[in-house]
Amino acid sequence: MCDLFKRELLFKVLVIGDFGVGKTSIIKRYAEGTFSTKYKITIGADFALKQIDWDSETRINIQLWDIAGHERFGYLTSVYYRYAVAAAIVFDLTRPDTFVAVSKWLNDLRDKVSLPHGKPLPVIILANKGDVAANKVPVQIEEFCKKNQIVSWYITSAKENRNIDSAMNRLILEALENQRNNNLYNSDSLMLAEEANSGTHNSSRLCCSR
Amino acid sequence: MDYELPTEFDIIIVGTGIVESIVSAAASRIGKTVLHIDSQDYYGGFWASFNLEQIDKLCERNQNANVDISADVQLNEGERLIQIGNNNFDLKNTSQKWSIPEKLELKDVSENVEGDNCDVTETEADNGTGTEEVWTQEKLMRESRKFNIDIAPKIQFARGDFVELLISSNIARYSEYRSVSRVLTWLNGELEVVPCSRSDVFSNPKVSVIEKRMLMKLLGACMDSEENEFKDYKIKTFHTYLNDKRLTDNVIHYVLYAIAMSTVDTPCSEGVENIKRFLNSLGRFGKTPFLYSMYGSGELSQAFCRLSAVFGGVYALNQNLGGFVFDAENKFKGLVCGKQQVIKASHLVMGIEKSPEEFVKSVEVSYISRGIFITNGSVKGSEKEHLTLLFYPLKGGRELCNVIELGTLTGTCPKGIYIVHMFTKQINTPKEDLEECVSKLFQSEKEDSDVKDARPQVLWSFYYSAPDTNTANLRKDVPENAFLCPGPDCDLDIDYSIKKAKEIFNSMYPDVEFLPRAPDPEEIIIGDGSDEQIPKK
Repeated sequence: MCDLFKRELLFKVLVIGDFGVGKTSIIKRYAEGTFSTKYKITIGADFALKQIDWDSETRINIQLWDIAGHERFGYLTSVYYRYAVAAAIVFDLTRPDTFVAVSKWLNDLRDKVSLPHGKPLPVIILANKGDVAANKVPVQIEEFCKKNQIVSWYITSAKENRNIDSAMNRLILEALENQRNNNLYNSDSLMLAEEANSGTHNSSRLCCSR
Repeated sequence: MDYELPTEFDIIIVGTGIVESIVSAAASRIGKTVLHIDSQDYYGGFWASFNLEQIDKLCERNQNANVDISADVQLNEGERLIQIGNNNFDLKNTSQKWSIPEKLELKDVSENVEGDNCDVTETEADNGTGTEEVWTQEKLMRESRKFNIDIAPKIQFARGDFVELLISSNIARYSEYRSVSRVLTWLNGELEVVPCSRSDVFSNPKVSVIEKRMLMKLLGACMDSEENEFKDYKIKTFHTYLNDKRLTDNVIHYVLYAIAMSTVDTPCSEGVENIKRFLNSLGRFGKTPFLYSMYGSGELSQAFCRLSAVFGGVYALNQNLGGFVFDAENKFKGLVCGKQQVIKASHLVMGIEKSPEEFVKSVEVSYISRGIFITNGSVKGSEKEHLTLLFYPLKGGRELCNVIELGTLTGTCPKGIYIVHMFTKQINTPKEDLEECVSKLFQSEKEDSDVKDARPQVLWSFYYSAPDTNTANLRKDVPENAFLCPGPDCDLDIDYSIKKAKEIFNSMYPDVEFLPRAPDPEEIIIGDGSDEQIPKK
């Protein structure tokens, strides 16, 4: 059924940031187009999937990995970071301390994961809850982004569906660019499954071009 | 990122070693509320993998860091506060050594300036010309993050309990493996490839036709295990059985030390069981029965932690632990986190190194002599990179030294480098126990000879003794609703740890399925956000 598309890509995108800044809302809004004020943690799900027909030749499957409020003290497992191609760091405009935490999250991210050739992951910052506090943007944000090689930052609102698509598109554009320059992940490691024939995966997991 | 933790859980797990992590995943999976906490700021405890910088600091680290005894909490009548941690289970006799200069001499530096600018293609071209790369401490430290050095390296059997559990629980999706590409042994003063499969046996030029037939017949007999075959060997050694079969010395060597992973003292029944396990795991993934976890053995516990978190487990690392609260009936009541917060739970599970002194005072500890070496080449060079498992018989065959050699394809070290892990039961010091094997595999440190030594050079080495509690009774002095998890043992695989984790889980939650298959993300049906459903199986 995907014969129409010359290539189908799989991107793992991380959505990180402090507890309660709206990560899950953003993911739900982007992946499902819905919003609710009382999300419960989605038990048992690692990520939400969103499929985009990027252009007539390319279909992108985006895995949005939520930290789901579980590993909430900022110590994420290697499983969470591995093979990510981009990240969005979210903070809450109504809580200045969550912006301070952005640099902690960024440090942890830079420390734990980079693209195969050592290049840092493309990162955007989402200033969320823009529907109630769009005027409370931290003055340092512009400088912070420049200093830390942040691709861009956006005032978003998951509630009013503001800027989320354009922010994510920008991030995907960066990931696509990296994908074009390098054939990202390529290993002949094994994913264990019932029998050996489903064994070797040649980067079938992520970033596969068909 | 500082939040108050919730005040009540079904179960509190202290320590993120593999046994603790499996229990955590299993409990979260069935809907129990789990607080999984560690005083360290990394996952895995004694099962972790470290980069070069971190391992450098390992010797100085304090195991009981973050354990606080100045807690100030209100206790009810009869309750008492017990300090967390003990000094019985830690790495001992640690010794780390660099065998290469810190930096290049000045003239060398000027020649290498361009290389430092890190044009990847250029460096690769340099390697291609065959000039040997010159390593310095500085250069290796710059690549520190490409290292994942296991404190407890583990190899899994392709059909062992661990692999079966990973697949049946669907945790396999969180990890990747590489198959060990060759099994070696030390025979007649040389490293020889052990014929593992039928095709290996027949293609091995060092095994004569008669030996081939002997070997196949013997392995067949062990697999079938007909009663008559072994009835006279109930109290004899496997070595005696092999000798009685009138095999050649080479065949006995391959079978005893490699395929049966035994010594001259191993009982016959155990040797036969080991052979069965070896042969059963053949042909599932790759050419040998063995698998190694990509990016290091430290990944194993994190895969279970991720599952636990995805099913609602609350994770808190780098926490100040003020003590355990036990009541008058010696029942676990809660954990003091920070100075004042008491978090209650009906069960406590802890890594043995986190246990209060009084629960482990009679636990007997033996030690494992371990050595880690960073080298500049494989112990047995070949065109393609191998992942090697070597069984080295020590002391005339009375002990076996397990050797694992990892190259860059395992994601545990940079290109051009190998990591070699060695371990055996401790008898003297780690250095003395491993000396025989080290001296055979690597260049000697003194460069007094003019003859070029083709063996790899050791760039860095790290020796230590690691505690092993496999045979100890971990229930003896422990209150009814508290459980101790053993640390890494001397086995190649972690099947024993799985058994222990399952026992702990079943003691707490009898009659509940242990780690049923977790759904894939696309199988999860999400309702309107208020009533989310997950398939129970």
